[in-house]
Amino acid sequence: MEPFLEALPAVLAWENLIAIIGGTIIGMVAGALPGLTATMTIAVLIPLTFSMEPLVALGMMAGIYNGAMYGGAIPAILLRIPGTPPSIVTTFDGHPMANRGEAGYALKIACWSSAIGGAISAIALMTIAPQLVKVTLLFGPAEYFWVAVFGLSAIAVLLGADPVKGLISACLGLLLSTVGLDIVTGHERLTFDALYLVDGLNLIVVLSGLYAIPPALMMAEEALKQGIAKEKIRLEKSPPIWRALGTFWPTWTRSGLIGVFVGILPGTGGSMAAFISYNEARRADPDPESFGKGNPKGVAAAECGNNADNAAAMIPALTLGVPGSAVAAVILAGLLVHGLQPGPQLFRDSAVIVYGFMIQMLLTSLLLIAFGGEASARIFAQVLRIPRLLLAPMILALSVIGIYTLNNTLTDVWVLLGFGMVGYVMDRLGFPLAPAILGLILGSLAEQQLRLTLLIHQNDIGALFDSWLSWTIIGLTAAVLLYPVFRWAQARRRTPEAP
Amino acid sequence: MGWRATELVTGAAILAALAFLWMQLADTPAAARMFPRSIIGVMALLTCVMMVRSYAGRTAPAAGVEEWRFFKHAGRFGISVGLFLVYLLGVSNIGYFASSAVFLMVLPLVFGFDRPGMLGVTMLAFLTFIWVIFVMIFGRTLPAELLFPALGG
Repeated sequence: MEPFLEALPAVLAWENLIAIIGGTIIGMVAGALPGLTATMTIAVLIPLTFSMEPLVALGMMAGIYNGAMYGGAIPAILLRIPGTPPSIVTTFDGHPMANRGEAGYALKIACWSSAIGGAISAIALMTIAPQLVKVTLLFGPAEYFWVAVFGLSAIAVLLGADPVKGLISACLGLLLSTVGLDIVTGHERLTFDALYLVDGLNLIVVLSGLYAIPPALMMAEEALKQGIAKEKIRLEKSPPIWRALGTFWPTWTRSGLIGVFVGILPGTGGSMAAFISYNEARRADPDPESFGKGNPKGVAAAECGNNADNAAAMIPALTLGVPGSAVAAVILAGLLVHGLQPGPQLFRDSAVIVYGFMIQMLLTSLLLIAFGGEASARIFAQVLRIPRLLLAPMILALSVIGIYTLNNTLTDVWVLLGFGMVGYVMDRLGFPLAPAILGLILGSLAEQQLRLTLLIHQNDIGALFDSWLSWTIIGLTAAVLLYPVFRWAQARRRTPEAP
Repeated sequence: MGWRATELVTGAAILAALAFLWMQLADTPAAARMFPRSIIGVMALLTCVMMVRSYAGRTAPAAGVEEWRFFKHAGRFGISVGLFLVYLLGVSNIGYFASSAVFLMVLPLVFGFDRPGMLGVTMLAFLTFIWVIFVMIFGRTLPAELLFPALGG
């Protein structure tokens, strides 16, 4: 409790509060706009946070994360267009409610459910992370190497639709992490005699290139000149939600716990949490047939499960450096650019920042209730009227200036364009982007720990398999890598053979 | 080009790039090249799996992709990238604000956006936001402005 009390005054400083509130509003707007995601928004804004104090930057990111996850529900309910990938599940019952003239009520349920899911998740982060980080003290270099391999395998295999392409993407990230001076010999690797590459690739430049440029180019490609018509986003008056709060508690509790569990697992993400929560809510309900036809509990389960994933995904990120989702990977990159290395040292040396961030995740969840009322839902729904053709050049111009101001060099901007093209091609060819970013983040950790192990044990490769802890992590990695094979075999067994 | 052919061409391009990188590491000390070469090896193996899978007949629907096309609209993509390139050249030669003002107006107009008033207001609001955040609050130096040097901070 003591570290949290120490961090509280820093969190309540005015600049932090502005960042938290601003981040939540930006997140809600980004989430409400189909095509913009929390990952992309944070990727665009990370260069901006470079000039901020780490806790202020993290407060903004926490706000964007939680805000975007709720914001996705607005178009999901009003238009049956998921603003963010996990809000697909919200469309199942949210849109039928809107068709019945209950859009305002559905948005209130979504808002409260998101806030409560996010709060449960933040409490889990505050209680589990400080305990889990003590376990990491048992880890030596070999175990850390295997943790990096496990995290990368999980994100690569479980996050995208194609595990092989996920793993290729992860390898690309690992390869990019080796560009620059070798940490042990000081020899240049893959620099092609370019001075710019001697220090290695800048994580933020690569991140912004891969995540911010392709969606903006795709928006320009679609060239949608009109926003959503005013009539389609009209909200009627709805009854206050507090009268029905009691009926939602069992759904919130169940979905919250599911979201936390799913969030901790690397590579799963909010979509899976929302789907499982929704299925469990339907299974537990006395009237499962009403799901998909506008049952308010369907909206509650989807939104609560989806937001309960958020802070929980930061548990492995803060303790092991292995994020639980793509957004957590981007926030982890944000931590790294501020010189904060995940693990026990972070909890010991930067306690105010790490515990402050946990409080910020809780505060930004609760803030959703203040911003998610009927009046603000009306305002946020208006962002759907912005033509996406106007957004594309703004995202590109914002990314350019953010990246330029990192080092005041235009070379970074050209590299941004290069990685933007790589990101576009990868996206069109079905290669997931998150494993590449995670590979870039974890690459140096994996290599350092591998070479440290080999140095300590005089190049004896057997040292990597010495401890039971290493074998446990290897077992988990093997399970993750074999999961697609198991799924494929199961699908083959189910498919009836052709006569 | 269909999905399968694209996957095969992509695989071949990746393998060629990996072979080039493998050779680039030839002069690097053994300890320093061990990790990147291991990654190259694994990546080449996975790329072969991807190519064999496509060669054996894995189609776009089997890969979970419906009606696949590389570009949603090749012409618009080309124009967008072209304008972005010109914009970046503009940023380095005449400065950020002047180039952005033109870019923010031209890209939507080229694609048929017909409300110049709304465009103008959006452009001014956006550039004011950038100036307030980057120059006024954070005191960052932006690329030198040819027309209005004071704007660059």
